[in-house]
Order: sequence, then structure tokens, then C-alpha cells
Amino acid sequence: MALPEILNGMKTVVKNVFKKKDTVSYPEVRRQPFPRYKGRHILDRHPDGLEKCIGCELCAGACPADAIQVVAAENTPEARFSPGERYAQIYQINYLRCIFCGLCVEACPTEALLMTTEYELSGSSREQLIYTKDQLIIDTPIVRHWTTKKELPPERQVFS
Amino acid sequence: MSDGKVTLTINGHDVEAEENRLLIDVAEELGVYVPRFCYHPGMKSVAVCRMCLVKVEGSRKLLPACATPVTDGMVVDTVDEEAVDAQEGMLEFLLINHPLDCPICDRAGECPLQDQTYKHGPGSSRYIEPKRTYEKALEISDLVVLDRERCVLCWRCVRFSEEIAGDAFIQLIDRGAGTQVLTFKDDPFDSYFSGNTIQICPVGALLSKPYRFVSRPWDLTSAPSVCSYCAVGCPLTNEARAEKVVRCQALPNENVNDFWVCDKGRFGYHYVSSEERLASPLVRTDADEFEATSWGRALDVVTGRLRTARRIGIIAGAHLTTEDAYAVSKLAKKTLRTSDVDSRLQDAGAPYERAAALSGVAGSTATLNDLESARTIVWVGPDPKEVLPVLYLRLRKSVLEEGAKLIVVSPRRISLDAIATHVIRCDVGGEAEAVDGLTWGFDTAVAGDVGDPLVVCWGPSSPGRDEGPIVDAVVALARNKNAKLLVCPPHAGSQGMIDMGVHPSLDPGYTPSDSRGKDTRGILQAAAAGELDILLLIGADPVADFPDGGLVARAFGSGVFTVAVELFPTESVAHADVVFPSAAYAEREGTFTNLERRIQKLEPLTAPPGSASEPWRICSRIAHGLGDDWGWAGFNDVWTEIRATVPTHAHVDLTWAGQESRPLSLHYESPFQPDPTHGRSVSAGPGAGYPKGHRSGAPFHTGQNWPLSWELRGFEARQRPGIIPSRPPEPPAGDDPVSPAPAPGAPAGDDAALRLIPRTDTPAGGDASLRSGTPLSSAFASEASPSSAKGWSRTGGEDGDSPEVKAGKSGVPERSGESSPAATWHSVEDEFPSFSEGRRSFVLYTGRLLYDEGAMVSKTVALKSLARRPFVELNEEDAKELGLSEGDEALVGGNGVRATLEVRLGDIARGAVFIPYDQPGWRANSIIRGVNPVVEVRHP
Ligand code: SF4
Ligand code: SF4
Ligand code: SF4
Ligand code: SF4
Ligand code: FES
Repeated sequence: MALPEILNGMKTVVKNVFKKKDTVSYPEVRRQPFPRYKGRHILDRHPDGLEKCIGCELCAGACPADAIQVVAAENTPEARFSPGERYAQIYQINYLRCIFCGLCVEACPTEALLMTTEYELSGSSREQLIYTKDQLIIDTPIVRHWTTKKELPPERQVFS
Repeated sequence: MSDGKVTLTINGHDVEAEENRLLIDVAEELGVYVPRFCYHPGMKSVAVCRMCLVKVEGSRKLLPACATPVTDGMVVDTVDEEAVDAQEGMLEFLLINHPLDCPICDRAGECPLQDQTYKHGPGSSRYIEPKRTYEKALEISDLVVLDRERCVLCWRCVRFSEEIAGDAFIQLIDRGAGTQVLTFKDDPFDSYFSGNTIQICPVGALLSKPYRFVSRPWDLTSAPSVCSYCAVGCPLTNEARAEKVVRCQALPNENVNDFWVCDKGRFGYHYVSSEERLASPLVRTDADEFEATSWGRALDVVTGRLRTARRIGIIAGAHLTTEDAYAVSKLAKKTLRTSDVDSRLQDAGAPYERAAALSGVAGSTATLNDLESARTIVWVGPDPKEVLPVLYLRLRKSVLEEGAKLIVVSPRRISLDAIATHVIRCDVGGEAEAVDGLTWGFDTAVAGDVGDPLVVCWGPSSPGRDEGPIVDAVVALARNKNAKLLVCPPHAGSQGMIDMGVHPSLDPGYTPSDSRGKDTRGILQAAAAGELDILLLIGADPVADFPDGGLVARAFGSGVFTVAVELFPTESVAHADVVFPSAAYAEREGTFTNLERRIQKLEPLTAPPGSASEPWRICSRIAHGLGDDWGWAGFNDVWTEIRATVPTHAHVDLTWAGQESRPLSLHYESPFQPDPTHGRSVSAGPGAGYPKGHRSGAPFHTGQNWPLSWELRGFEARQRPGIIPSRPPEPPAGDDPVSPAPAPGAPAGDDAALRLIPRTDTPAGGDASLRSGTPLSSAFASEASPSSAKGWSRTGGEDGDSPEVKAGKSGVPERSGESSPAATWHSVEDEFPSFSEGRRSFVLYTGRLLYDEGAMVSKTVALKSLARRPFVELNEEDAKELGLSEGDEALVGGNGVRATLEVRLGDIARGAVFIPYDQPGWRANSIIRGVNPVVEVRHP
């Protein structure tokens, strides 16, 4: 009675057994995610080395998971971190809360906050997963590498 | 169109409104919001921003709603295409030069320009040329930062400074496209009210320096509260980020503060989150050090002592709430059965109970609103701008806007002189006589202006002197002219203390105590004489506040067992044996009673540090430890009991039903609450009366001015002979001095005497200054004895009759007990006719300045630096005779202590000097001894 259904299901199984495997043997094999994969954040710099982040807290305001904490302070001529008056004195992202939605990146008015493809976020304590500004800020400004959808090879266009 | 009402139509809705009201207000009450920048309900309309243009039928041009009074039959359309077009056009113009740096602007998120652009502005700008730029973030004072690029030239700050505060420090300069807002060259924005311009600026042009970059409005939680500094009791909203109070803003209450607060109230919140706050009970160990301990152990130590103690003195501070006051009073009078309890420190010489001779109320019979309907106001007291700043604004408004006549009686030029109709410059202590002059109409130039309705204001002015004769004179004036009395005690909690019977002769609700206890001076004297077993200081810091430094030093020097309930490790706490940490005003539920007896509620916002607790709870725990269970679990239990036991407060209703603040057109609509009923307009909605960010949901009440309710219920104002002395009718006395009958039972043992010039070579001993100052050189001190008092003298004391001096316990001279209950004032000129030696004695007239070295201000980072160095103010003639001029240094001595102070010349009665009471570096109370102090001044 249920035989046709079982056979039908087995057909799918047999078909996939002979397909190329999607799973990899992590961690020996690490897969390169798609370039616009939304992983851990970084804070970018200007070409002159100043921080792009101005401590505006818009990312924190946009975050639906309340994962970002920013405390701003004022730049002084002696201690200048960013162009203008304001910089982020404290900047933290709590990866236990982050849902990698990317709304923070969209909210950032200076394109300081970006997401990388790094997905290996684990730790053995709460503190290890609260990334501070030191961990998030990069030393050399990144050079934009992304391209538009059209220019991506077709098999890569799945996620975009 | 009868009884001043008109009917008009706004966006198709018919409304009835009072004549002469502004269209913008009437529309807002209907729920039709007209966008605006320059209009502010607390100031006159100027209609400069043109944002509020609306279409009125029959008018060829659009009319500004903020300058158009409603008329009968008016047909208004605020969402007409033409009006909307104009509004969008105005916003596009405003944004042409606006830097749009919202991401770094503190206003972003609660910015009227942002909000109104969302709601009424065009989607984009056609302007692509470069914008005008200025230097950003100019610090125009220690509290205010100016960013001229963001200014929309609404004139609000300028109008506030000129119209409301009366110190025009900020102006719009230049013309046309180059118009900019700026302070005058080399002149900082040095106003006591500068913070209000930050709150009313509709953009982020004027910013608070302490709050700069600290938070975003969406990070803040807030709760309505009341300022914890002075007795005006301005309603505030406290706002906190991450459990730390980071901002205070004025809440509008037409009855109290209109829309304003002073800078002390606005920026004085840092002390709450100061690192120095006490966080756990402390007990003094055998090694004479403090040790943190548990509440249980500290309470055991205290109750153990209290069980055996027979002579107990309690001094409470005037920054406590009304419930704390009730608890202190109950602890003293019921549990410990002593009337030796008082709350008067700086105002130690102010017999508030005598004010009750007028109406049975030891406080005001007038309200602040009465000032505005008064024809004449008489001011006898300190400089309100320094002590009660927002009262100064209310007085200013009454005089300049409502046309009241102001008569100022003061020995020294005060801020009110500039707007007064008459200034009576009397001698120090001559206020009583000057007021009598008004009562009996001797002063014919002034008499004609003493009209009805009359409000007589009195506040204790100079710490250290006996205000009794002044109170009596003021009460006599009020009674004689059928006037209302405004009693102005200094601090936020002062009136609550008196109402709740933290007073040696009054029980809660002004019922006379069974026995008259010791007042603050009496308690300290008992401690100094070793006649006190235990001293409880509840929020009181006598070392800093009591106007007799020597007495305080002797009191603590005697080693009396002292228990302190405090916020900070003050100098008085350093002398304590057990210390309990207390919760600050932003950390607790409570009420303050202001100088017009309005009860207003504090809502808790942050958590107190460590295990700090409310003083009423601490009192109830002490009582519990003594076997007297009051059964109080929370704030409401205290009030249930107050209502049941205090007759005057029987009808105080803390739900304040029907007394919520009326939404005032102070706040801007949010673009995010579309209201379908009125098209583009948005109804005020819940919370419209609160500044944005007010999200705790706690309703804000205007408070309750309780005697009004019992007056309505027929509470009989009555005199209580024997307790509240009435002043005998005054005979017209010409030049003859009037000797008022001594008040029956004036505080016994009060140092009410008299010539307090240091007469011996006083070694520093136990009597030296508590903080600084060196002993007077013997040459300086020994010749200072008064020769004679030939002038008028309130006791009628004999010429040359100087008080006996005998050595006290610590080798300190003490006066013999022949003190007279009434005050004696010196006529120093007669006593010291010769200035050949370049020194002279002066009557000391002190007084607080707004920013001083008080425990709360000095722990507030933003205000700390504003406190001025101490100085001595002299009459020009006096200074000339001493060979001193402005800016010189003078040697000031008294009570065996001297200090070098900067000389200022001022309009002050001859023979008197003014020294601010408590400025950084040096406390004036160290040179004060006894009542009505005298100091010496000489060339260094
Ligand atoms: S990715 Fe989303 S959840 Fe994560 S920090 Fe950004 S806004 Fe928050
Ligand atoms: S990362 Fe971007 S959005 Fe977040 S604070 Fe910095 S500048 Fe603002
Ligand atoms: S600084 Fe602010 S309040 Fe003053 S004129 Fe400019 S926008 Fe108006
Ligand atoms: S006037 Fe008094 S109550 Fe009002 S804010 Fe200033 S100090 Fe506080
Ligand atoms: S012109 Fe009416 S609000 Fe400015």
C-alpha cells in the first residue's frame, strides 16, 4: 500500500548517493564562503589611518538583537581617532546575541562597519564572544573587492 | 461670542476658544499640530521662522499661527496645499545651510528639525552649492557648547536670555545670509539659567557640555523627579544610561517653574553617581578606623547605645524628603521621646514657627502664582538669584510682565534691585525696622505703592544671625495689610521638615510639642558641654553648614557618640562612630514639599550604590531594633500613616487625580504616530507633555499645594498662644528703636547674644578653624573689644556693657549666660569711631552663592569648577577708610581665625561686610561665633 511512496523516496536517496558530496570534513577542509556572506564584523579605517567609525551609535540603534554597545567621546587635537569631533571610545559586539542580519552595516553612515566572511565564531566563555574595539578594528584600510551581481560567476549568484 | 469666547473652524472641526489665544495653541489642543521653530509658549511670539504658516479664509496671504490670535468665525486650514507648500519651502530653506551632521549631533533622535523635516519637509534638496561653515563646537561657557552651523536662527536662546533670565549674553549678529548666533567677545555665556537655552534650542546648536556625546536619546530611561537643591522644587526629568544619571531636563509646570530650571538643578546630577558615595554601613573600630560592616551589626551598635542613652540629640538635613522628615520626627518624638530634634543648619537662626503667627501655618500662605496676581511684592531676604534661582525668574516675570510693584529690603545690593520699584537699603539687622516702616507707612515715598493684593516674601538670609525680629516684622506687615506671606526656606527639604515636626517645638502638622526641646545650637552646645549621650545626624553636615564653626568643633571634640546617615563621607561623617549610607533623590520614591508647600513626587530611576537605603527606612529599622515596630514596608505605608496622624496632610492624595500636567505646546510631534483623524496633523497623544525620552510611563503630576485643600475644608487658621508668639501691635516709633517683646520661651540656652568680637588672645586650641585659617595674632585680636554701643540696639543694652568672657572647657572664651532672647545689632560706627590703625569691626552678612562647596555641588563635576573663590564685599567708603580697593587682599578675622580674602566693592550697608558662606577653599562659618557675628577686616 505504502510501497509506491517508499519507492519514490528511495529514488531520491539513490539519486543523491551518487551525487558529488556537499559536506566537507571540517576542520581539515574549510570552505570559502561566498564573498557577501555575512560573518563577523570589522571596523574599517580611512586611507590616512583614522578610524571611519564616528561613534554615532546608529548601528547600535538599528540592531534588532541589541548586540552592539557604543560609548562615544570627543576627539582632541592630542588624541585624534577619527575625523570630526566624535569617536567611539568603547565599541563592542556581542556575538552571543548577534543574528548576522547586517542591519548595523546598512545603518552605518560612514561605511565603517563591514561584515567579513569569517564564520568561525566560538568560544568557551561569554567574554570571548564579546568582541571589543581592539578585535574589530583593522590595521590597514581594506580595499573594496566586491563587484556587482552581474559580474559574479553564475554559480556564485545563488546567495545574492 | 459671549464671555470672551470665540468659535472658529480648524481643518473642518468647530472649536470654541478663549479670545486672544494664539491659533497655534488652540489648534494643538484640538490635536492639529502646526510645525514651528521659533514659537515657545513660555515666551512672547516673534514669528521669525515662518514655519507655522497656515491658510486662513479671507486673508490674502498665509498667516503665522504663532502670532495670529483666534477670532470669531475664523476658518483655518493647516493642511491646505498652499500652506503645505510654504512649510516645505521653509524647511528646504533651513536645510540649505544646515550641516546635516546628525550622526555626531547630540540632538539627533530628539531633534525638532529632524522630526519636522520627516513630517513636513521635502524629500530632497535642490541646493548643491557649498554650505556656509563656521568653527564647530565653540565652548561658550563651562556648561554650554555652541555649534553655529546648526542654528536655524529662531531667536529662542536670545529671547530667553533677554526676556526670561534678564542677562543677555547671547545674540544673533550680522545680517542676511551671514546671520549667526554668538556670545559677545571675551564674555562667556555666564548665566545661571544658560541650560534652558539648550533645552529650548530646536536644533543641536546649543549643547550641554557634560552631556556631550554621552548618550543617544534611545539609550535613555527616564523618570519624573524634583530638583533636590533648593526650596523652589522645580520638576525635572532625570534620564539615565546604563544605571547612571546622565541628564536632567526641566519638566514644565506652570505653577512652579513655568518651563525653566536653573543650571544647578539641571547640571547638578553627577553627585548621584559619584564614586565617593557611601555604599555600606561603617562602624568605627577600636583602632579608630572605619570598617565596612553589615546593616545588622551597625544597627545593633546603634540600638544598643540608644537603649541606655538618656540625652539624645537629632539633627536632620534639609535635603531629605517629606517621608524622611516624618520618620525622623517619629523616631525622635515617639520612639526616643525627645524633642531635641531640629533641621535648621544654615538657617539656624530662622524661627519659622513664628511665621505661623499669621495663619497657623509655619510656612507660606501665598503660592508662587499669587506673585503674579499681586499688585505689590515685598522682598525681605537673601538674593533669590543665588539661593532660589527659579523664584527669581518668577519674581521677574511678576514684575516685568504682570506689572507688580516690587519693594526690596536688603542691606546689600541683590539681583532684584534692578527691577525693583523701591529699594530700601537698611543696615544689617535693620530689615525689621524697615519693614515696620512699611507696616505703619512711615516711609511715605514707598507707602503709596504698598497696595492690595500684597505678597510679603521672607527668607532667612545670613546664616548665623537671628532672624526673629525680621520674621515678627514681616508677619506684622502681612497681618496689617491683609497680605499673603511667602516663606522661603533655603533647601528642597526644609519645608517638609517643618511640616513633619522636625522641630524642637512643633510636632507634625504644627501641633505644639509637649515640651520644648533643644534646637540645633542647643544640641551642639549640649554635645560640647558633654551633656549628650548620642548625636544622630540624618543627612546633616554641621561642620560645613552650621554657622558657628567653633561650636561645631567643640561639639565633635567632646567625643559624643555620633551616628550619621549620609550620601558622602563628609567632614561630619569623619567624626561619626556609625555611618549608614543613604539613597539619593534619583534612587528612591519620595516627595519634596516646596516653599509654597506643594508636594511633588520623586520617582526612582537608578539603583542606590551598595546597600544604601532611604533615611525613613533607616529610622524605622532603628525603631524596630528598639522594639517599636512601625510596620512600614514601603513608601505608601509612610503616607498612609502621615495622612492618618498629621491633620494638615489628612487630605493629601498622592494619586494626584486630575492634576496631571496639561500638555503644553513645548514638544514637537513625532513623525512616527500618524493620526488618521486630522490628515497630516498628529494628535498630541499620551506623553505629549513630556520631553522625548520620557519613557518610564510614570505620569508626571503637577503636585499638590496642600493647605489649599484644607483651607477649602474649613481648617481654621488659628494662633496658638505660647507656642507661636504673636507680635504685639507696634506703636509708631519714629526714630526710636522698637524693642519687640521677647518671644515667650525663645529657645533657651540659645547663644542669642551679642557682641561676639573675639576679645582675648585665643590660641587656636579646639576652637580653631575646621579647615584652614590661622589664629588671629594677639595684637589683632586683643584690641578688638567693642567700646560702646551708642547706636540703636534692639536690647537696649547699656553702653559699654560688653559681655563677660570666661574661659571655657577648652581654654576657649565663652560668654556668660546673660544672653537676651532678642537680638542686639551693633552700630559699629559708634563702637569703632577710629580707623587710624587700619582695622575695623564689621557686622558679618553672609549668604550662599549658587555654586558653593556644598556636599552635592562639590561632587558634581560640571559645577565644581564654577564655584567662585571666597571674597569679602565692602562698602566703598569703608574700604577707602581701610585703604583697600577692589581686588586687594584683606585680612578678615573672627572667632580666633583669620583668612586672607579678595576685596570687592559693592553696594552694601556701611559697617557690614558680605562674605559668601561656603566657597571652595575656605568656609565662612569658621569665623562665625554665636548669633549675629561680627568680624574684623584690616589691611594685610
Ligand atoms: S548583524 Fe544584525 S544582529 Fe548582528 S550586530 Fe548587526 S544589526 Fe545586530
Ligand atoms: S560603526 Fe558606523 S554606525 Fe556604528 S557607531 Fe561607528 S560610525 Fe556609527
Ligand atoms: S542657537 Fe538654537 S535657540 Fe538659538 S537661535 Fe539658533 S537655533 Fe534658535
Ligand atoms: S531653582 Fe531651585 S529647585 Fe529649581 S532647579 Fe534651581 S536649585 Fe533646583
Ligand atoms: S513663525 Fe510661527 S513658529 Fe516661527
